[in-house]
Amino acid sequence: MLNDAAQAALAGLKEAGIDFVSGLPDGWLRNLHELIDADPDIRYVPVCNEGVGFSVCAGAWLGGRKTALIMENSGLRVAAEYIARISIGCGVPVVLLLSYRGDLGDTEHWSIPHAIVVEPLLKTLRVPYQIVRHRADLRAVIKRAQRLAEAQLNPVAVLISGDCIWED
Amino acid sequence: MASEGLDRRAVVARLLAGDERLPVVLGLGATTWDAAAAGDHPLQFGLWGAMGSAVAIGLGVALARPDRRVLVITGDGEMLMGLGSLATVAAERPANLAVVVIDNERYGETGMQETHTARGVDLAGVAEAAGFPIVRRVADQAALEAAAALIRAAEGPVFLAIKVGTEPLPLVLPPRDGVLLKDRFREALLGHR
Repeated sequence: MLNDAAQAALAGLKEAGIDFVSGLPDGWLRNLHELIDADPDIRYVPVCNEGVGFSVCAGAWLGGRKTALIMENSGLRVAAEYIARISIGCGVPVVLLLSYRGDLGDTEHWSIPHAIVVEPLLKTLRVPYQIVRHRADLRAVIKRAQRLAEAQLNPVAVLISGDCIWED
Repeated sequence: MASEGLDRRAVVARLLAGDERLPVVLGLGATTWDAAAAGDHPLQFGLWGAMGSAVAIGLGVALARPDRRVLVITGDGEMLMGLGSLATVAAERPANLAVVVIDNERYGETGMQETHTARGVDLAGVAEAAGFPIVRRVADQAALEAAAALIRAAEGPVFLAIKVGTEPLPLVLPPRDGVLLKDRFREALLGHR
């Protein structure tokens, strides 16, 4: 991820009032993880799988925090059971920040399933989402995602790709 | 033999009893029924599903509210599905969190099939190896009394593995509505939804 995009994402999180983030490291979003981990206003909880991360965020929201889960888009498949059970079952808002692995520009063959599955799975889970391909949009989209999540008491996803990741 | 273990309803009632009402996350199935039998309360958030997530949800509550003692009560089957969450609890070391596993060595909701604890898996040993600073194995009333005090006072995270019997018990159900359970928990804990 480009540094100015990572800074924009961090600004979006903070301006949205998100003060609790869980995540599993992802190469594309590495510097955003590092910025969040170093930020004194955000409690960052690294986890070992994304289902735990979503559940930790849900618990933190029950405890009064505004939360986000940051992960590779493959992690959505792991978190899906807990998104379905907790958020569809009870109505819990969590902003999901996902790298859009497998989108145009990716160089890795192993991300093919990630791109194939992520949008249909978000639709199946009834999670609203927006793809951010221009880093100038990132900050505002994250803030809007949080507003919608709180309004609908539901996760909202931000898929990060394009010139958020590369210069060309 | 698990059938010779403690009375699970009495164990859960004992753990919930105290001067301060604790926020409690309950694993799906029998531990949710046990807590309802002890007396339903808005601070008891029972998972009707989401198997494997009780400890992770409790961790989130504990990290969000370091001013409150937070309790997770779950079963051995539910805990086995979410073992990885013990590593994250140990890494975060929330001093205000206690995890209690009511271990009857069975999947109670699906026909009392044996879980892996019936085949020797030691959940307390897993918690110790993960790095929980306080771990107790409880199999009798005296140990239960000593362990119950840890939930409300010890510098945690605390992990209790409590062996209970397998006697059939009547269902005592809290509200079935997940939205209601969530809303009333937030109201009781935060003063707003």
